[in-house]
Amino acid sequence: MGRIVLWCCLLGWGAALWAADPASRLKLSEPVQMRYRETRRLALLSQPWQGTGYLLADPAGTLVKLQLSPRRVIMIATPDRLLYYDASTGERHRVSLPAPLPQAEGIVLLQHLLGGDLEPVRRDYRIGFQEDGRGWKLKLVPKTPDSAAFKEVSLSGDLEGRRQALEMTERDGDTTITEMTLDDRGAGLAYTIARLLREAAGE
Amino acid sequence: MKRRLAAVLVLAGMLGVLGWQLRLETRLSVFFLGHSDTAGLLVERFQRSVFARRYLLAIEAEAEKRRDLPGFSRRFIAEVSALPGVSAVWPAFRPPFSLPDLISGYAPYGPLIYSLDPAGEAADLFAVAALPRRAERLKKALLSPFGDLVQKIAPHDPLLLTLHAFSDWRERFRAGAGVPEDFYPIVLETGDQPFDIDRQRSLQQRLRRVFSRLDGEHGGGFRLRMTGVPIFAVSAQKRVREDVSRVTVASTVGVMGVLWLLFRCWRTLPVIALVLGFACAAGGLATQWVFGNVHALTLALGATLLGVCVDYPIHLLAHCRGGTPPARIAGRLWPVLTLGAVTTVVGYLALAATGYPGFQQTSVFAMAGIVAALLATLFVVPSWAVGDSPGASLPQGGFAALHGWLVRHRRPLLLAWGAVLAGSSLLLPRLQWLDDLERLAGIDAGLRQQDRTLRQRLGGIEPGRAVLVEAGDLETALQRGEAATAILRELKKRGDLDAFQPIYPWLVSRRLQHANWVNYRRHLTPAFAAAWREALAGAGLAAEALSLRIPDGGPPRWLEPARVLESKVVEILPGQVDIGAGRVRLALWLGPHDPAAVSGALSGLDGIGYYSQRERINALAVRYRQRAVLALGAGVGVIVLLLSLRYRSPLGALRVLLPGMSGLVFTFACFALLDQPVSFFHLIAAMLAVAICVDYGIFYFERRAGDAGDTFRAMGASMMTTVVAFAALGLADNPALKALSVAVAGGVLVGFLLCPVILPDGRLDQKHAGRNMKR
Repeated sequence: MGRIVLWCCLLGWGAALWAADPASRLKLSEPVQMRYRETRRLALLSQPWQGTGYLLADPAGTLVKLQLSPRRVIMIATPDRLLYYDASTGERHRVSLPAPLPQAEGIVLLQHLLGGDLEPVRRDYRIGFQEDGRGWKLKLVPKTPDSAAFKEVSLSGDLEGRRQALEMTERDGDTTITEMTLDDRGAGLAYTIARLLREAAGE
Repeated sequence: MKRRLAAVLVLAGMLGVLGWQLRLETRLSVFFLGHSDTAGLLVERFQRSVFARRYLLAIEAEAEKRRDLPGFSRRFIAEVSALPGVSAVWPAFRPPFSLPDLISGYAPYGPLIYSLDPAGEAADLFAVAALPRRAERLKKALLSPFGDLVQKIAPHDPLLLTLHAFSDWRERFRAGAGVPEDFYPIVLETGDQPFDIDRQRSLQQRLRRVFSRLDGEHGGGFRLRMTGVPIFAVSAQKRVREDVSRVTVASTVGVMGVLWLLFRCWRTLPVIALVLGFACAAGGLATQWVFGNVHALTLALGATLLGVCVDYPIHLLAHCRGGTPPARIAGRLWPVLTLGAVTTVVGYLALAATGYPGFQQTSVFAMAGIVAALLATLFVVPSWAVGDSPGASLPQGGFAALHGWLVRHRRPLLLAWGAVLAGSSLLLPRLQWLDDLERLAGIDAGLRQQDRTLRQRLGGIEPGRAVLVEAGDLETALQRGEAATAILRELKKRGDLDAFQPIYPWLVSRRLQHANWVNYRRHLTPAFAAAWREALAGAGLAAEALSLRIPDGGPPRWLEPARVLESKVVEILPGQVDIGAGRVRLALWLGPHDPAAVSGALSGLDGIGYYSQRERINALAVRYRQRAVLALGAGVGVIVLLLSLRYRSPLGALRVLLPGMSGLVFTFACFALLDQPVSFFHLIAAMLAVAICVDYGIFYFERRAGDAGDTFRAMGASMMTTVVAFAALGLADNPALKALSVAVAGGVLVGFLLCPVILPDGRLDQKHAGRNMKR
């Protein structure tokens, strides 16, 4: 009986350890699609700006941000490049990654976080992870605050993996909050990701 | 014996000093452009700039490896950045300095720098009706992930006038601009001087080794291309060194072989080698002392000097027969040898008079060498030849038979000569001129093509083409530069110019700043500011943070160009601003363009000129050719004068000159017949051939040996060594050396053969012959 108790304790401790590993919490095993709502508070805007759309991510490290409102914009981060396409103006950008673009760092960070790829994040940020009965929270604090694009970044989520929220505070105090809700998952999303990639690349 | 030892010691001393002092130069630009000409100065300034220390690398991938290209390239960059000699390396589309950061530093000066034509653009820039659209655009830029620059500028310059000023740079600061898919361009900056050949060669080898290793690890499929000044420098040095060693070895072996064939006596060779040693040592020392260095191409050309200088000892040794002491023979031959040397020196003086930097060196080298060879022949050779007559073994066969045949058939040969000369003269107007100095310099065509391709693919500005602005002070230079920039913008709009790199608005003249400020103040009325506030509110922008404040006086501070030049901005303008004592030069680099349109649009503007290195260099070639024609004429004139003084008869002088001149005409007629373009190198070669042939004419005309056959035999020996030495130049890769080879060897051979045909058979020269016999 004592031995069973001991094993149960050991298994419980191991499970807690596994659960406390942020990478395992974030790692994707298949493509996912999330609805998102982004709220930006900038010092130069008189009121917060809001945008909505879908975020798609796959285990290979591709993140697609498909903004549908207020206008259609596709932004895609692959391990090697960043694509931007504004359908309303036809404006396209293509940047090889990594790139020293402060505003692009947001999506690249999200790409790493949603993919559970924390190694590149650890190069620039100290990572703190908390988990309780209601959910988990990942907090990033820059190692060199003067050169980092963000003063603080936090990603939180529920234990079921259905809801997540990303809050990024820039050095000048501007903030961006992205709330995400799981919409779909499965291999079929790979086709959607590929189609959006082609559209953004103009192929 | 004492004399022999002293000669050897003097020669050893000269060679020792030469070895100690010699500074070998291998830059082709120094030989072809020198330092004193404007083009040379520009090239030299460019060579000292950071541009010259940069390699442009391109990694290409096969189709199936394209996806791996960025990763592979980043790994390559990471590895080569740790190599010794590499000071920085970065992807070409992502420079190590932040252009947005530098431009945003100009935001407080926006109202001072925004336009080259503030009055003309005011209607567009300060249109009230356009303000709502501008506010919307501002908001969009603020929210864009690529709006970094706008976000930095807007709080200081809400109308974004700064961006209007930098419109020529828009393409370059657009995020991700210039990122090609099919190749990965990399800029590598080395800490070593571009012409530190040994270090650059090692670096290039290390780069190739790293690339090969990584390529192997990735399963192949990648290719590395490299260009840049250090690549050309290493290649040029390799080619020049190969040319020098090939020509020197071939020339030396060839001349020695000819001497062996002629004299069949090993003891003759050291005597001649001694004379050549004196010639080379004196030539090297004189060049080093006069120019501070000796160019490798001068050495290659100097090797031909062996073929000229060897004539003097050969001529002396060829007369050493019948137990006559060599010193007495030297005493008898010295006027002939001296006159021959003087006429050759005149040829080289003509060479120097063209102003061509490389040939100025060659002339000094040759003139010092010829004088040394003459002195060694007259004063050193007799002491080595005492009690011996090496010349006695000079074979009677071949040349004697040839001489006999030429003399026997003199009359028909004269007729043939006249006919060929007339025909050749008719062909001369068909001569084509080659004035492309780049082709003559023999720069590796493959490398040049690769350089052009890489720069074109990157849409690059080439530092070899620019609009040059010159003035006495910086303010005037900037004003002129601004005028030129306005013209270049127009040309770009018309499609006559693809790209250019102006200095405006990094540096702006005080006059333009004042004009901008006056217009800004005039249009920034309370009504305009209120309309802007309304537009901001309509777009949802923070009216307080982005409002326009109406200034109550002058600008808070002016943009000070002199201070800007002390900042990081100079990295953006490499080699574009040159401030010297009492003069300022600005260079506005150009991308692909229509030269006629650009130079035409700039003509007549004070202190502004179009500069194309290639065209400038080719214009130099034309100038050198014109000077070469003059030099040729002047050289021939001086030779005629010297000969007339010597023979107290212009007719005799012309006769002596005729074989050489005929050789010149025949050789050039051949070039015309074969449609072979002729450069000023050929003209100079012709001058040399004439100068050398005049020696033969003098030798044959004076006949100090008394017998025409003996003289012809001695001349034949000289001719063979000369032809062999110049033919050796034909082994060089360098087209200029090849041109010299064909023209001189051809001219000398023809001139030699014509001596017995054209020159009198002795009956016309009884007076001289008689005088010689008495001696």
